[in-house]
Amino acid sequence: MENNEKQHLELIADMINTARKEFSDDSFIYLVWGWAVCIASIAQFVLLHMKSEYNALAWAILMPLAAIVQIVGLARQKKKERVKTHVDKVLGYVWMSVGISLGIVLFSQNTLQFNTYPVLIILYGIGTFISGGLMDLKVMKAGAICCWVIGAVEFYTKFEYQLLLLALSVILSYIIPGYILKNRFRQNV
Amino acid sequence: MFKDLNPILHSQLRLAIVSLLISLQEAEFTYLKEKTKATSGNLSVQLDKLKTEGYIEITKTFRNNYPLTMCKITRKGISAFEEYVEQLKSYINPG
Repeated sequence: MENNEKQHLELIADMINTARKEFSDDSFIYLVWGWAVCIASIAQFVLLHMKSEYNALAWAILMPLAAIVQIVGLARQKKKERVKTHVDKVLGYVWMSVGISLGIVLFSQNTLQFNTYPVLIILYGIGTFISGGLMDLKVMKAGAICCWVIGAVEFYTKFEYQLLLLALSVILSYIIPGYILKNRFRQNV
Repeated sequence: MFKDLNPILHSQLRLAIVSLLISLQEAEFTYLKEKTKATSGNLSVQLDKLKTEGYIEITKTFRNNYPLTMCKITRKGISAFEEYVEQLKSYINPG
């Protein structure tokens, strides 16, 4: 009789462990936004050096494009999803909050002036630190800490170098962890 | 003192289903089938029993013209599961 009870407890632990490891492969979102921000900021840096009037052009093109890719990608992913986990739900809310905050900051660019990018990077830090923690991804947590350090430094940096630091922050917190996450899912499949 | 074990949960497959659902927001029928290694027929029967008991909710929709069955644990299911685990513990560590 007791053996049977033990088996049942083992079964419970086994099933809970199986379910706990589930969360959707959202690596493409980190990669899309990481690359879009990285390319746009480097492009602006280069265009500023060329004294171009349209130095912010890459942002105007890449940001809406990244948003479209994300919407299409998420819709596709939803079709494949077989489970919804609590971690996915929390991550969804975290990034929604970060996204809304980023929107408010960008909308207030005229007031914030050269403080805009540092604030953006600090917000990246919040999103990636929580995500890294929930997904047990140390590289992302480390990337988030780098974001906070870079963000703090940026308040005292000239605008054109702010752009390069912005690119560096997304490489560390989005792009590198994004590829590692993608790889992790590939190995699991 | 041994407490009576809830007969609905004291079955290998039903317990496996509830243990999976307790950690997830929602799960598809095919996911449960894969993880519990049960046959479709048996899984359907056990899901129905859990539903009748009010432990889980089942929603049936369509995705790309294929039927899609989603299962979700209810509050009643969560309390029953917690109680069951406590009872199991009292069996294993009596006193």
